Amino acid sequence: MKKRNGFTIVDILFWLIILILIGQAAARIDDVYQTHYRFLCYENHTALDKLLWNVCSEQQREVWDVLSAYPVLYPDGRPAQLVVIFKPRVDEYERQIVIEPLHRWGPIESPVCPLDHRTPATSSINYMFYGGKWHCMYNKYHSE
Amino acid sequence: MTKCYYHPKEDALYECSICGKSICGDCMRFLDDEQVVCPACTLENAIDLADDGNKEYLDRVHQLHEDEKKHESKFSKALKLINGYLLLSIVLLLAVNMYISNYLGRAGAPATFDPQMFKLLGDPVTEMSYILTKILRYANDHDGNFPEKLDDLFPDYLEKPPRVLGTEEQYSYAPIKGEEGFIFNLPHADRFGYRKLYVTADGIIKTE
Repeated sequence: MKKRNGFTIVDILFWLIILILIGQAAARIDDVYQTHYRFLCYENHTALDKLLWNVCSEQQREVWDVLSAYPVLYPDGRPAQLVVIFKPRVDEYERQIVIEPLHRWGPIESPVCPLDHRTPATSSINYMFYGGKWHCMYNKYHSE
Repeated sequence: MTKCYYHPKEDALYECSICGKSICGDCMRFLDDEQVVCPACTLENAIDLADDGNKEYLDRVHQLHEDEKKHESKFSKALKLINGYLLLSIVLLLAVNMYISNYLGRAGAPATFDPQMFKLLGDPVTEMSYILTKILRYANDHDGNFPEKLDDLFPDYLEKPPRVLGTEEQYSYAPIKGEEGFIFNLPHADRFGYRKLYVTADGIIKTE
C-alpha cells in the first residue's frame, strides 16, 4: 500500500475530534486537582461532625434538629466558634442558637479547606452543615 | 551525510517521493518523468526493463522490499488501512474523559444555592446562613469590603439573585459604613411568624 501524502477529509475530521477531546480533558484538569484533595477536606468534616454531635448531646437535642451549623473563623486572633442553629423545640417558639468555641472538646485542625490558602481579611466560613451533611463552601467538589 | 538505503557506502542525494527512503544517484528513478522514486517503488517496471546484468541487483532490492513487508505486522497494516492510530487516540481520549467524569461524579453533590431545597428544609435561616458564607467570601475576595447590595453576589458567588425561599421577596441587607460590618435580616419578619432574625458581620445569627 502506498503511503499517502497530505490529509484526507477523514484525517481532518479525526484530528478535529481529537483536539476537542483533548480540550475537554484539559478544561477539567483543575476540577480533578480540586477533587483529589476532598479526602483531606473530609477529615475536617469528620472533626466538625464530632463537635456537632457533642453540642447536640449537651443540649439534649438530635442532629436532625439542627437547621444549620457553621464554624466562624476570625482574622484578628479571636478563637474560632461553631454556631449551631436548632429548630424550635416543640413547646417553644424560638430557634435555639448555640455558639461554642471550636476547641472546647479538644484540639481540632483549623477548619479551612486544604485548597484555601488565602489569609482572610474578614470573618470567614469554610464549612456549613445543612440538609443532614457538611458542605465545603470553598470548593464545590468537597461536599460529602 | 545520509547514506543510500540500498548502497550503504554511497551518500544519499535524493529522497523517494513515495516511500521517503534516501537514495543515491544510481538508485534514483523517474516515475512518469516527474517524481523521483527508489527502485523498490518502481520494482515491477524495473524488472520488466532490466537486462541480465542488473537482475542480481534487482533481486537484492526485491528481497529488501519483501523483508520490510514481513516486519510490518498485520495489526499495523490494518491500523494504517483505517486510520487506526487516529481512531485509537480517539478511543483513548474518550476513555480519559469518561474516567474524569466518573471521578468528579463520585465527589458528592456540591453545595449549591437552591431556593427550593432551602424551602424544603423549612426555615429561611438555612438559606440565610448560606448567603452569609457567600457575603463573607465576597468580602475576603474584595479586601474586606462587603457587597453594596445582595444582588452583587450574583453570578460569581450565587447561582441566582438571593430571594427569600424562592419567592420574589428580597432580604433586607445593609452594609454599615465605617464599621466593616453589615446587617442582614428577613424582610417583614412578622410574616414568617418568627421573631426578627439578623446576622452580624461576625457571622453570628441573632434574634431580637
